[in-house]
Amino acid sequence: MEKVITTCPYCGSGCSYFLCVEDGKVIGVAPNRVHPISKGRLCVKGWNAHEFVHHPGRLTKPLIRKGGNLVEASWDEALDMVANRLKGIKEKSGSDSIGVLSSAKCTNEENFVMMKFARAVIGTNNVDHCARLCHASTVAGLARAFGSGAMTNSIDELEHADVILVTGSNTIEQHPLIAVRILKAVRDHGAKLILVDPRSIQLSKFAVIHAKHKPGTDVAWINGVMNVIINEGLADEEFIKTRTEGFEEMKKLVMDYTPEKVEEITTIPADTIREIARTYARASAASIVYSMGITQHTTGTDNVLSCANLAMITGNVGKPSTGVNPLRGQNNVQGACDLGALPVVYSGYQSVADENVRKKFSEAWGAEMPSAPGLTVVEMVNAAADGKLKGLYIMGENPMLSDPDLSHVKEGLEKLEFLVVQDIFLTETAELADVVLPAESYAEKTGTFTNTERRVQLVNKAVEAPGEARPDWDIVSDVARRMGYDMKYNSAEDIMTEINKLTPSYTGITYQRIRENWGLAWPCPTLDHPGTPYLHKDKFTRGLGSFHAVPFKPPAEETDDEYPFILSTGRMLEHFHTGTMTRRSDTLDREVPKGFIEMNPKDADAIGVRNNWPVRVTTRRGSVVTTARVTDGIPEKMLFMPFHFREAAANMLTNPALDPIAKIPEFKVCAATVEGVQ
Amino acid sequence: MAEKAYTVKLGDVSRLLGKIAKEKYDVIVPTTQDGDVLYLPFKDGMGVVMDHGNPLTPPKEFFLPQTDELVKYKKEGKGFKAEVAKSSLDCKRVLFGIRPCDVHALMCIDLPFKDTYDDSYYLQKRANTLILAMTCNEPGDNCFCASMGCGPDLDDNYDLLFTNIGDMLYVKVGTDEGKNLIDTAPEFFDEADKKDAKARSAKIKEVENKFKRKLDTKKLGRLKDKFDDPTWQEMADRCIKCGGCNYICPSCYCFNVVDRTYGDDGVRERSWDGCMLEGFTRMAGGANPRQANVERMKQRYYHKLQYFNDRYGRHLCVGCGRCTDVCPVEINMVDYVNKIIGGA
Ligand code: SF4
Ligand code: SF4
Ligand code: SF4
Repeated sequence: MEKVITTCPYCGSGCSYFLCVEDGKVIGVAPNRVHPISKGRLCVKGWNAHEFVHHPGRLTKPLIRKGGNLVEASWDEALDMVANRLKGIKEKSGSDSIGVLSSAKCTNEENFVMMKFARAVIGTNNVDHCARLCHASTVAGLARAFGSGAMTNSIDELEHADVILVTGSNTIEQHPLIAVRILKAVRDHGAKLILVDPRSIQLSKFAVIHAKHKPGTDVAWINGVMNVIINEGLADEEFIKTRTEGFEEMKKLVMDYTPEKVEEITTIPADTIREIARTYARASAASIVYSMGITQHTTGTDNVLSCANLAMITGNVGKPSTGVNPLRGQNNVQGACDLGALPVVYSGYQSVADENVRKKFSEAWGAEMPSAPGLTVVEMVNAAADGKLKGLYIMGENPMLSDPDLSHVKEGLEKLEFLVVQDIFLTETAELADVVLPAESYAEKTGTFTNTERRVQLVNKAVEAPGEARPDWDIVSDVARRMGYDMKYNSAEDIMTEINKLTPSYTGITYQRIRENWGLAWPCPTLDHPGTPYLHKDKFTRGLGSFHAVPFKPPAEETDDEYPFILSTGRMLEHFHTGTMTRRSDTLDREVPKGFIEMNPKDADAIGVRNNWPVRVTTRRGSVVTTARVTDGIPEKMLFMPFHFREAAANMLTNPALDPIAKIPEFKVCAATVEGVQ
Repeated sequence: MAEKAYTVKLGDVSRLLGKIAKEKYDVIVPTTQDGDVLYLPFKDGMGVVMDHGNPLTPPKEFFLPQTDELVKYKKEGKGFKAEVAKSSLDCKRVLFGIRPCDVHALMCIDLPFKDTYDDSYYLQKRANTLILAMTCNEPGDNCFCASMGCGPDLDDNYDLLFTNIGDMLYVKVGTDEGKNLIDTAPEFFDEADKKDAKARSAKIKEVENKFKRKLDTKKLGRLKDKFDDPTWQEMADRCIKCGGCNYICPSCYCFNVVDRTYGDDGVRERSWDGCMLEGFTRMAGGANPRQANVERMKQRYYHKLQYFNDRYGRHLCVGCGRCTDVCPVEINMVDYVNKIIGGA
């Protein structure tokens, strides 16, 4: 028996535990009491994070499509094919006809190598990953308001906030080890929890106020709350004067949003709006926590800007236990963004539009750097469907379940001249590929993940990979070499050294330091810098904090007679993202073995359906049969569906309409109808 | 059993264990890795932690691992050929430093595992393992073994029992096998004298007074009338269904069995399961007698503190406090149970 300390591959909380290894197999998980986030505790996913590692379905050999079927091939054959086909497409149709999807599940080092591959080897900025689908609007919105698109404060600080405003986050299910800080603040320190969420969730029981708004009306309720704060003299004038700009313009707009008007838009009673305003604004340290209920809208960026407005108007930024705290979904979605797996920035959010930055990377990498901004996830799928994108290299992502409007995604992927998918299992997306490359799971490799509080932590190799699987960074650099680009690393740590050199916010983050300190939070610009637990202390990253006047806009698709229900999608405690790992974990899959749709008892009655009965849900995109879960936790005329299940894929139904700035799709609202089936 | 007792100098313990390890024993010791104390196989030069609180992961993992192979099978002709998995324990094992509560926990698991059927996978490991227990000098914040009669001293069910009495360990002998172990490395043992024995008693007394938590066990009989106490709901509302309190409990023994087929080969494995998980009692058609979390919460506590006792005459809780340590939402077992039974 051996125990290897590592970082959880599931949510962005960033828990740590030991993997228990016996005879070369991971057989269990043991918590570690001194780790600063997990403190000897885990959620059910962490406790079972060893189960998928030796699953019989693991990919162990490269696969090549021959005569319509995927058949086993040697690495040489597969990699030569990838290199030659990509080279051919590049020569014939140009660099920008190729796209790359990097991965929020892979390590920082692998994301860095992948974005380098896109820019230096392919010569395109067409590199993105599924942050686009969860927090693109956070990155865009908070960068505009504060200058930095990440959680402003650290996880532990939540315990000492006296008011916590949670909106669009089912924190107990999605970020369990962050939620427990909220529960502790409420029970042990008398904090007040304000919850704004359309559904009753477990947190509701601990909230002093739970306002249930109509999905898609976030800007309106936040404007309403600010209207009250201004009118009742609760704003922090000093903070507004010294630390921010743009207040007057915002104030003018907000004056229109009286609580009564807001009640009409959102269905939150005017008095509740007042109560939220007073409770939040009177706190000495108030923290806003949000997640995809805020971001996954065509107004996602507006919603994020509104949260930033609310924090600034009360001076709740740049101090301990305050701030605007977007909870990032995946283990390394923060890191994949940090390392530049985005179409407009290199690592450390250095812009591709900046000539000096391009020059720096061009010199470091010995290649011309493309300057045109690249395509985002959904845009790549559209470009593929239009025949403009011809080659796609996907590492550790599964758009065939994670992206909106799956029929359209399939159409796009099938139209590609060449699709290569690198993963640990034959995912729904890999099933469509021309070449499938077997990668190592987190238990088999070394590297780093950056959690939602910007803490960069180590992942340590515990066991050998199955069959011929290789680490993602190693595969990508091998393809690069076969395309004639000299890319060679001896280890993940080797890659980190290059990251240190080229990324100011990661310069002081070395393996030795994070091993000794349980990670470091960026920005960490020098080798003796202690890391940064909370941002914007005396000054915003961008100088002055910027208010934005944000008018309310309705969702892209509103209900009508034909589609009278609002359908919202989301996640749940026991499963993760497209279920690639959790649905192959016996314990987790047994907990929730099949998909479902939540509906109100009155609606169920109206269509003659009972709990656990089959129903058909239909939108303008498609139709899915699933099981009704009848609960009065969901308001009438609203439906909720988790997206983890391939047999009842919620994304057959979702609307691919995009936020114009962040290009995030509107997963949280579309119009649907539901009926019983025999 | 021999009345004789011994002492070992603290400074000699590592060398003693090193010598035992050379005698074809797998030696498991508490040691520090990555900042926490864990049980790990002894290796030369490894620091053995003597004055530690109890490791969070209990020694249960060496008898009933989180995942354990039961049967290997292979396709042969039209059918399958099965072969009982070889126990990974083919030599004798010595478990050093195991605490009294955890020895009691093994005694708990022994009961159902040799009830109607013998669970050979578990019992074989039990039979092959020598228990070199150690009494605790520093009870943890959530420990209440004294309330459960499972500590801080241990009366039997050990091969050797150590107590840290300052610069040496006092050693009591529990079995012939224990004595044989001493005989393989006699150079490390001195015969204990009266003064040493006194020091031991004083130490145990001192520890008995150190407990911060006490479960009012005299009132546990009241539980049977408390099935509808609203506190259960309060606990369930808080619980985030992690299963940790089951997994980490040294006396929780429920497991699930799954088959994994790799091409023509396969293995049947069992893995830890827990009554706090919703799938634990769900039936094939989807009906679940313990659908609501509050039902599961009650099941865990009633099994620990009433049902097991009804059947086997002892409680299934040894007071190690781990379920409280590991609970992300800090549901403190002693506080809540005392509240329910109106205890101190
Ligand atoms: S809370 Fe998140 S990081 Fe922690 S164990 Fe659960 S899934 Fe892993
Ligand atoms: S129920 Fe809790 S205190 Fe009792 S033995 Fe189990 S983990 Fe220890
Ligand atoms: S450890 Fe706590 S949160 Fe986890 S299942 Fe047990 S009672 Fe619930």
